Amino acid sequence: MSENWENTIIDYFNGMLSLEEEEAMFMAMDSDSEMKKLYNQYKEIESGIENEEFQQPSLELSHMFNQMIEKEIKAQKTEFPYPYKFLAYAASIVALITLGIMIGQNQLQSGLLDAQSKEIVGLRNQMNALINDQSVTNRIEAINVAYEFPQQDDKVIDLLINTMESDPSSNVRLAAVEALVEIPITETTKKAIYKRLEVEEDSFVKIALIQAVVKINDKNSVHLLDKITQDEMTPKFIKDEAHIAQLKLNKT
Amino acid sequence: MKKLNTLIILLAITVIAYGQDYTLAHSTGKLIVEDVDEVTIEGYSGTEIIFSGHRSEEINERAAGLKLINSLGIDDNTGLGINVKEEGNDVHVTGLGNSNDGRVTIKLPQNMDVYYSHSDYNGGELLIQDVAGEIEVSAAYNEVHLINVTGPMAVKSIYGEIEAVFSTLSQEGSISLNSSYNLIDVTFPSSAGYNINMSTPYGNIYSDVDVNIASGEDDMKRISAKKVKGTVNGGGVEITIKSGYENIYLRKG
Repeated sequence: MSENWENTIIDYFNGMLSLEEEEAMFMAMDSDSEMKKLYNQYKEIESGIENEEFQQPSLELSHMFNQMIEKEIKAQKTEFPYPYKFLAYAASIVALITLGIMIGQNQLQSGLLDAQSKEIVGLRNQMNALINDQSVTNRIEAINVAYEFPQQDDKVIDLLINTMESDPSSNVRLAAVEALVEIPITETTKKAIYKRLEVEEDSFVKIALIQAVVKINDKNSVHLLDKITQDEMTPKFIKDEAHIAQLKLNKT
Repeated sequence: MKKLNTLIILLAITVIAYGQDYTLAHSTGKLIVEDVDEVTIEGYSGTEIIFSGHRSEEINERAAGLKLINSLGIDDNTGLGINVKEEGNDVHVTGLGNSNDGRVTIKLPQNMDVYYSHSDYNGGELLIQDVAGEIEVSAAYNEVHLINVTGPMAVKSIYGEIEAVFSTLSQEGSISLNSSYNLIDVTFPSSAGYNINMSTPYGNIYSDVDVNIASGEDDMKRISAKKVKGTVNGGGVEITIKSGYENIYLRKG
């Protein structure tokens, strides 16, 4: 295994690889057990960090903790009293057990995450292969793949936004808008939809964008609908849709 | 005297209607039809594109020595009130306002792809039949009737209803049918396998097809009168049917 692969693995977990590079890495891993081992080690570290839940202690707990620390400092000057010694041992044992459980769980999850990573890379490849196709229905098929992702994927969201903004077919743009509000809506999605609403010329897609604004349910976007209802050049049925959307947003 | 002048002008405009054909040797690529009212697009096993219809020829004495012009800078090169132009592998057909009378029929090699768009309320009925290539429609007011088609296709009409009868179901590409304000009525072959996603927020969904409703991540089936997602005959090509305000009818052929 070359050192380059180690750098590649690190880049992968930092999200710095292109789809092609990810695919090449997984292919190389299939025939290189050392590389696979290294990948799993990095994955354990990564998933251990990701799975760690940080909780903010309550004020009461913080106060108690501070008091305990103060007592500990004082105790260092005198002999360690018996109950604290016992508690220290008990805490060490609990910490070791917890660590053991975490490592066990991580190893179990490692296999599952590995399969999921491959699934995600496979779905991304499928989307990328179809989205640049000349055929309109293949590009819509690419958008349909977005619904199959097991979790939110920023690369998919970027691809859908790009399609909504630049695909020459209004049928494809329509499918992209509908997909963007069916998967989890991010801040990037919101901004892109608001921006597109102002420039989209196809009436059908414009209606879909207005309905998307309702689904986003952000009262701050009402001014965008006002612009549509007050624009003299906008067809009446689009104004009506914008008006219905205003009523829905004001009702919530 | 004013009335007499008007009468003389009206008499001077004589209307002669006659049938006519225009043929183009072309059998590959895409037929792109824009803003042609009342059109039938029909696939057949030949190698030419044949345009036919009735042309309304107004003999207008006031227009003597002048020619009909439009903002696109194109003229009627077919005698049917349409302009036909080959561009690379594709053929562009553009309607020229109200100069055609009645229905224009376009027969084309059945594996050619078809793109149709119409942006105003004069579109009338669009009939597409026996076409096996990819179909894309983007209409405002057209009623869209698709007969003996196979897919793949992407069809949307804001105000028009969409009716489609499939002879067989292609497993290539996808099928999407969208109408904002009208109904959608679709018939697929009873043995065809497909994944279907239907929704109509303000209408109902009627069907005689046995749809196997999809389960969510929690293994629970989502049952709704407004949204149906599932598979038919084990699944297959992706089909999306959406109406904004009207009913959806899904039938088996």
